[in-house]
Amino acid sequence: MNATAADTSFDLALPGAWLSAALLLLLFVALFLRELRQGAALPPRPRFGLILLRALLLAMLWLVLVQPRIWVPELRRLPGPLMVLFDDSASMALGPLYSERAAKLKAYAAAWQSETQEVMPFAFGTHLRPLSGLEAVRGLSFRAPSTPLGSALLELAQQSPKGARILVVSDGASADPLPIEALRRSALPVHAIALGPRSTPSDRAILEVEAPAQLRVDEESRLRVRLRVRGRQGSSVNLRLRCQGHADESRSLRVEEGKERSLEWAWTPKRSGALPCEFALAPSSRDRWPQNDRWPFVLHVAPARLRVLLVSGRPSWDLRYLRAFLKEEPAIDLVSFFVLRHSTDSTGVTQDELSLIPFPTDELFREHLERFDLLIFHDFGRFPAPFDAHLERVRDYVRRGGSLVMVGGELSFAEGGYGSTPLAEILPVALETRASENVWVEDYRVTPHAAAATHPLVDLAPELGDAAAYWRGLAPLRRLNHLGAPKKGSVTLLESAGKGSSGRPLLVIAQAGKGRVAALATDESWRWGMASAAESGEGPNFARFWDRLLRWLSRHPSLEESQIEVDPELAPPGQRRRLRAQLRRPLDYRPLAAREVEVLLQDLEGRTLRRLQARTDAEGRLDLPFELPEAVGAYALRLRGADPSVENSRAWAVVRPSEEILRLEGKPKSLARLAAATGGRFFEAPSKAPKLADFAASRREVVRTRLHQPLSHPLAFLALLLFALLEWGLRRRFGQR
Amino acid sequence: MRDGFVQVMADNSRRVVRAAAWRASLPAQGSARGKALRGGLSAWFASLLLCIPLARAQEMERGDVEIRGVALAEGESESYPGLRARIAWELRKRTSIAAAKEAPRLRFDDRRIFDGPLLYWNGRHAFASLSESERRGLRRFIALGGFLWIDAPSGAEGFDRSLRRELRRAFPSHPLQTLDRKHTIFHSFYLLEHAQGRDASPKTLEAIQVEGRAAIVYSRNDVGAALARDAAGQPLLPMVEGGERGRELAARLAVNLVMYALCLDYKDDQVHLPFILKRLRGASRKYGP
Repeated sequence: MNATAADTSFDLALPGAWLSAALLLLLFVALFLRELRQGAALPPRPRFGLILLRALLLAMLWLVLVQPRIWVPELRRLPGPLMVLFDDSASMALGPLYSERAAKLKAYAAAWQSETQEVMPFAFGTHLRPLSGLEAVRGLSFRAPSTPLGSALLELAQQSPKGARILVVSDGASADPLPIEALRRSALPVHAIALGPRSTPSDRAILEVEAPAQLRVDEESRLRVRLRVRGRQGSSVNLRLRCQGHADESRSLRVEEGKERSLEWAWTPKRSGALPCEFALAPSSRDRWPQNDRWPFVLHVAPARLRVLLVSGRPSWDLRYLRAFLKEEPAIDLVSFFVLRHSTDSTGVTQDELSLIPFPTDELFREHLERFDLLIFHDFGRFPAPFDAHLERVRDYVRRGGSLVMVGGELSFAEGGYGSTPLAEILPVALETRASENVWVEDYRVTPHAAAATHPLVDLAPELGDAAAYWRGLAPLRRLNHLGAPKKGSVTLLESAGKGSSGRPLLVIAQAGKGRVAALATDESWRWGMASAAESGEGPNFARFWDRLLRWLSRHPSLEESQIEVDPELAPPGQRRRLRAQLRRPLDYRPLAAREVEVLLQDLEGRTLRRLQARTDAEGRLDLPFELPEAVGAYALRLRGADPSVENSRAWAVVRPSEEILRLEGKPKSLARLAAATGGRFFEAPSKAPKLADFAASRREVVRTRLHQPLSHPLAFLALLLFALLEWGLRRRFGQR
Repeated sequence: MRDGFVQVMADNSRRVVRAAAWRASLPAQGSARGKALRGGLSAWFASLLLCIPLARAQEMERGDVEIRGVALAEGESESYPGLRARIAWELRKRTSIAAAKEAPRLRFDDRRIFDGPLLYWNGRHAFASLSESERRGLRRFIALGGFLWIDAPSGAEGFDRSLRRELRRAFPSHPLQTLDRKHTIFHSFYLLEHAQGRDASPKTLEAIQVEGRAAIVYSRNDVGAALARDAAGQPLLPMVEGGERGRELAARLAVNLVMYALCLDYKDDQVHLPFILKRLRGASRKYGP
């Protein structure tokens, strides 16, 4: 085929090409200017003639020296590849109404097989994949949960050979933006054939549900729901919320046809934990696509505000910092009573001049005891008030599930008169019958018990990687209650480390019936706040310690021995999930290492759908990939077999509706825009599309290139020579050199 | 300690009863041996009674609430030595607070100020600017929860000027403000109508509030001086106003201030409020004009 002017190229044979030519030109111009000065004495006409001749001679000489070359390619046209991209997503076959899209696609692929045009077929759904040939289109399942057409086109463009064309066969419902500009820059034409009707059927859909990351029992939270109604459905829809363990709630709402509506749903959980929930639209005969009428999700509900009773036998700095910490915690409801005066103290006034009230022993420990989740006895002895009558009650309260921490001081433990009392039965340490006095130990430090370095109540700064160093770095304490031996079944977490008193238990915890108890043998933990912060400039160590202790005592979910989660918890169908767990023993939190675990995958009704086997590692960790069924809904993963403490622990995983069944409508206009922008052609139905060959690409190939160098011919040199002689002769004639 | 005190009392009571019973069984009066025995028993009996205050005195040696003083220079002497011990004594006598008898005096740039959240500064004269390290130490002390009670006579204008200058420098965005009569300090233990020291005026206290608490309280009534005692245990200084009743009110204010430092707004907790309001209404009728 003939080359065009655009195909021809031009250069110079002179070494240095254009630079050399420019320098030569400058030289000749200088010579010419010199020439102009020399002819001044001649009459104008001959002078002009000689100047012109000299200019022509110099120009000819310059051309002969630079030797221009003309390169003319000889071309031929070759056929280019046609890459055909078939949409394999679920929107192509969403049930009887939409299955025609898939059928049409398969039919045309089959018809194209008879054409001779060579094609490179691909399918895209969750990712782009090449097909062995057009016959492989028969095997497409149309189940991909989304239509990432944009990323598929980009990937195809990167691997397309030169001269290729792309043909997209799709409904156009792309999950990501189409890279029109990138494709235009790559000069890669994209043709498109749209499938499916442009309009969407009557449909009601829940498009999205948003919930707070964490809710709290008895506190109202707001859930956000977005709905859409299309087609003649009427404007009233009935929306229902179901959450496990709670009564169903329904509301009737008005949603304008063709519009979306967002609403807030106020809801108050009554139970803590992970709750599977679901929003659902009431069925309607006009709803042609009910699969998008449900949206399952999981709510994480924290326990109600912790109700704490703090009683103290005397004001102290430790009490002051503890009370301030408890009051600042938004998740704590605090009731505190301190004994500010003992009966033997001499105030010098009548009761009317005091702001004191009688210690409400009976009210607190008879009437209201059960209302509290946690009791803190801070340097609170038996004797300030007639408390003996209530010791049994407190013991039984703890055994039924309440929590108690006794904080040291001169009025605590044996010094407080608790030896041989009902309270001594539940404390985690033995109490001597009578201790004469606390031991004052100057500047003792705290160290973790040997086996407790990784316990969450000890390892308060895991980023340091050394719990012992953390505790060594805290300010020393000065007072320590000498406790008896830790009881069987209790766990010693912290000990003293000092010259006078080393290895004595400082923090001991235990289970007492259904409740939890802790003994803290000092009322100087406040020094970990003020003094430590002053020394190191760092950190709320006091607050961190008490926060952890309270969470353990109150069984906060974040400190449960076994932690189980699914990643991701909420995803559309087909997405791979992972079950991650860390399993530990109760109380001492030692890992349940190398344990065989059975994982039951169950539906909401508790039916087991699948059984998986796994084994924990040395840290008690589990990481198990798995797949969920495609049906939308919530599924439980329940653990069995590792240890009685984790038996039936579970996490939830939710399959939410995919984008394909939320949007339904195709987007042929986007395909049309894509084709127009890239120089391709668009057809709104396969019936209107031409044969494949008409989409076929072609490309030109250079067979060979011819070089033309007109001034290299000997005649050119001869012509130059003759012209030079002519010019010289005329100069001599007019007396010029 | 409270429990120990009760136990000592119980033990001594038993000894006293046994001693009295034995004494009753002794030979009749007249015999020299009987007289000697009775005399010895009486002395013994008296000593037992002494155990009670002695035991209590021993308790007072220890305690975790130290009334630590403020020194502006090394070796600087206190205006009233023993004053802080007297405040501790009043606390021990009147409340359940375990106040220590002895406590050091510290500069603001001494690291030991973080060993306890209470500092008492009795000032009388103008003073030079605090160094930057002292100012830093004071700010840090307050930021970490410390409480500073500044006490001076109403006529100490030099100290007042110096103090206000330094507080402005150390806490430029927290000015001294007059405390309302309803502030917790006035009902943290005793129900008080106003501030009282050797001077009955001003009747108010000033404070620097930090994060909702009065972190620095300035009393210009010379409260501490009203409590100071000489070696014989007699009041060191006469009251300018109020007489002995005023001295008693000064002691009450000192107790309230330390109780506030320990309990902050505990008394304002809702559950206590009805009881306190009822008492305050009663108190007003009693002490009204």
